[in-house]
Amino acid sequence: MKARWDLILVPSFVLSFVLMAASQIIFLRASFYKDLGLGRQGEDIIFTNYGRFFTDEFYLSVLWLTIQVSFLAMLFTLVFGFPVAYMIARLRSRWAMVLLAGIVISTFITIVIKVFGIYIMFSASGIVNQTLMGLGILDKPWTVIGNDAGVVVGLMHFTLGFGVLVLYSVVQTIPRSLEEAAQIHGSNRWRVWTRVIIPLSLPGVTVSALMIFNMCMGAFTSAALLGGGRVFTLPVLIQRVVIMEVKYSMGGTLAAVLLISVLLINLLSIYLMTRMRKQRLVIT
Amino acid sequence: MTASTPLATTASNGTRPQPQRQPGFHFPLAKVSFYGFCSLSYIFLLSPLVVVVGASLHRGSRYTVVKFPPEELSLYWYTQIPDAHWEALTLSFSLAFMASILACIVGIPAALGLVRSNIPVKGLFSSIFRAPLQIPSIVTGVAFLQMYYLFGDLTGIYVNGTFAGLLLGHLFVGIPYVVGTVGAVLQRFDTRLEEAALSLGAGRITTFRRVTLPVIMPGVYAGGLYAFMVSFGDVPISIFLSAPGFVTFPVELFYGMENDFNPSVLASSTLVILFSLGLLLLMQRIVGLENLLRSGGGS
Amino acid sequence: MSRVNLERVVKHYGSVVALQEMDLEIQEGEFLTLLGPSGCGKTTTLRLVAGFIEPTQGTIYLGNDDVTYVPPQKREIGMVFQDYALFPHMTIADNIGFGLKERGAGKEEMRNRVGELLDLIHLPGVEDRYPAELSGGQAQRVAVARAVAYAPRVLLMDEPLGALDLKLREAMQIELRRIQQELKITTVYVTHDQGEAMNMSDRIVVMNLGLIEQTGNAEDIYNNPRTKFVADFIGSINFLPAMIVGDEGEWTVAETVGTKVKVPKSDASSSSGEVAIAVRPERLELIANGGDGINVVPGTVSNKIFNGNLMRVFVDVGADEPVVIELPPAEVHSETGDSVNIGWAPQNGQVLTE
Repeated sequence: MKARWDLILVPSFVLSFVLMAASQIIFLRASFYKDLGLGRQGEDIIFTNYGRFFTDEFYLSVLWLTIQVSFLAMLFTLVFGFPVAYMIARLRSRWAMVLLAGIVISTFITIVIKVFGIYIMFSASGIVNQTLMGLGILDKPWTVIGNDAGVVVGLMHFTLGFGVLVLYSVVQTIPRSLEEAAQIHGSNRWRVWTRVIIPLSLPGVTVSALMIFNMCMGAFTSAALLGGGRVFTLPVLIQRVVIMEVKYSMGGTLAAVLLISVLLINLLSIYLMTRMRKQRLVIT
Repeated sequence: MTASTPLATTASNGTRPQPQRQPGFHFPLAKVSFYGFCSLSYIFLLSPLVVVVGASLHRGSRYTVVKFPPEELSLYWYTQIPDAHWEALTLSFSLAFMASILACIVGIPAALGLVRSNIPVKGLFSSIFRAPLQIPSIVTGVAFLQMYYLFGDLTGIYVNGTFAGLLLGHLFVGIPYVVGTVGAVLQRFDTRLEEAALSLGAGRITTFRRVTLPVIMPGVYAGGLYAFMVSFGDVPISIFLSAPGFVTFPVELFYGMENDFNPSVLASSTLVILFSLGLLLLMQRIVGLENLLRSGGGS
Repeated sequence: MSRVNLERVVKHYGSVVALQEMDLEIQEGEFLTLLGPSGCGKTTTLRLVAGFIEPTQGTIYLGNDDVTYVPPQKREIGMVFQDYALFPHMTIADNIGFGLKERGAGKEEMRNRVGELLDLIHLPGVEDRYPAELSGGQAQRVAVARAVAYAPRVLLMDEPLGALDLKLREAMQIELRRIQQELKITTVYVTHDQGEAMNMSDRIVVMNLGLIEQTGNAEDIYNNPRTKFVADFIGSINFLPAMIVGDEGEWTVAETVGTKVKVPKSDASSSSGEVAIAVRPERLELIANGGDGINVVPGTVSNKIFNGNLMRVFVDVGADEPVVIELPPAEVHSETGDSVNIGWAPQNGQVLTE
């Protein structure tokens, strides 16, 4: 008797599928209703919510800001994350594991707690401002709370650790001997990077970049806390519209816009991935 | 340049030149700046945690209290953790614990089915299992809330603001981690091991328990740990599914930030940091960090 | 082309000694093989010459230049790696031209040189392919072409045939040796395969536990191993436990398994402890009774294995291990269980210490 692995799959699949389909369909359908106030919704399918989103400058600016801060956070995550990933991947000693553990622990701890640390560091009498003012770099306290820079910092706290882990597995696909081959055939460190490491990791980095960008687009907590109620990204706005304004339909519309943009980015990354596979640029 | 400059004298002139430098005492600028640059990321990621732990140890009067580095070491604020925090911590812990257990119960068969069966359009099935990771959590939160309302309207049972409601939401995002990590281990699994066990007369159940399960255990631990930590730290789903007076720890902190700042949150946060650290060390002891990351790398 | 010279080179990794004081000179145009089991220090030596690692002590010369702390890219060395290490994102032409480009070669010059090199490795016309489209043997030949493209001073090869199957490996040995001789390039080759070492090298350096055990050409090392390790590592050999008991003109007399035998005098002849008498299986015979000046040891045939062109006869002489004799099958008339005498001429035996 053969084991029926397909039957074993059924209960889990039904659960996952029902949860996903039901929740998504219900909120997407609701996004086409009219908010009647106090959480009540109309029953006619209308497109006013979507119409409003794409004509109202406020909503469009929120979407645009979300894209901007996500792009910046992704860029900085790559710039700061890749060298770390490379360093860990190339270490031979036990330090590699210790350094990885440092990354893992920072990603495991909820962003809310980290934000306390950031608040304390950037408070007027905090260590950052005291140091910078002491050195004469700043003449009055500066903070990252409540401005766009803060949101980027918050998003990076959300993505940097994850980025390092993903990029680490990208670097691991490049055999060390390729770097040595470049070196022995005459490349200095800089040329090794430009001729070997960067071109070979580019496909993996591109896909990682899209993943990170996606995470940033959907990031709520870090953006909400570092935005300090003054900077609105799409996820922050969704929470506000649903919880404070109790407009479920408009919230649903915003969530749908977010979901669709995220899915589009995902499709793009899958497309890129398969194209690179075809060109044998991805070593598998 | 004249022949007497130090540069010129190092050139070979028939006799063997001396080694240019002693081993072990050189710090090329490029290397130092590279490591320096890398350490920036660590400072960025870890300093907030260090600051929270450090500041929690500082004793001061209520409103001028937060100081880092701490000046007056004391555990005072640990005695001042309000009941609301303990309740929230208890809720978060039980929620994360249950969610990770259930995620394993649902995820292991799913992974087995996905890897072992030869159903058509397997890719579609696996992307449906992975979907919760692609959906932004805030969307999941909104969607579940609306689903609960509709379910309540239809049946009279409103699960939003209850443990079950929260658990279902957390389970939803936890399952893909277990499916991913266990699936990754199963891909590498040598099915001849099972065939060997079967040929030696072990039954299907015995084979699963004695052979399959131990082999996939690292994946189970890794997936369970991810599910636990994601649940334990979640805000965007819980914020929609909790009710006043019935909130998870991160949500309690999240709301707390908008209100009066009480340094005791640093103390309870420190406890969470230490707990997470301990959990990671425990996992390192059980399966090793490498297994943890390898099986989780793809998720 | 240059000679390579290692003077008192030591390499430690933390508390692990990878290489104990090594002195080695590689002549211009010589094909030298570093041979030994894994962990013997052969790869460490190669990587020291390449410049990937720096020695803990000692000096490395390339020609007359001290290169001990010179980075790899400034050493003008070519290297072939075990996994080929071809750049997967570059065409074969770009791979072979890699070093030329780093040295500022023009397009025209590169194209011509790549063509020449592809002719040299008998693989013309693959310029525009990618490494993934080549077979293992082809990839390795391309790797050789890349390594010699800019006429390096030395060519290093780190187990380049390790990933190939047996048949291809033998063909590639001949191929590599041909290329090396055509270019007359100083070559350092690392392998753990003694057959490979003997087929290709001008000189073999046998290494063990971070030390050179013996240096010499293939015949020299096969016929006159200096230590038990070398004797055992190169080809197969029988060891009989023995004690030195005397002296008889040009011979040393030793007693093994109750029999007195003669062996040529050597450094081990003055040893007072346990020694080993080493004899190659093909130098042993089965004889009826002892002739003049022949060493004879009695024993019992314990097994026979037919191996095509030869028969391996296992004879129990009372030592821990049976003695193995290789004979043409037609010459073997004894059956398992028969009492026989094994014999060998004294000059074919050797006395060795540990």
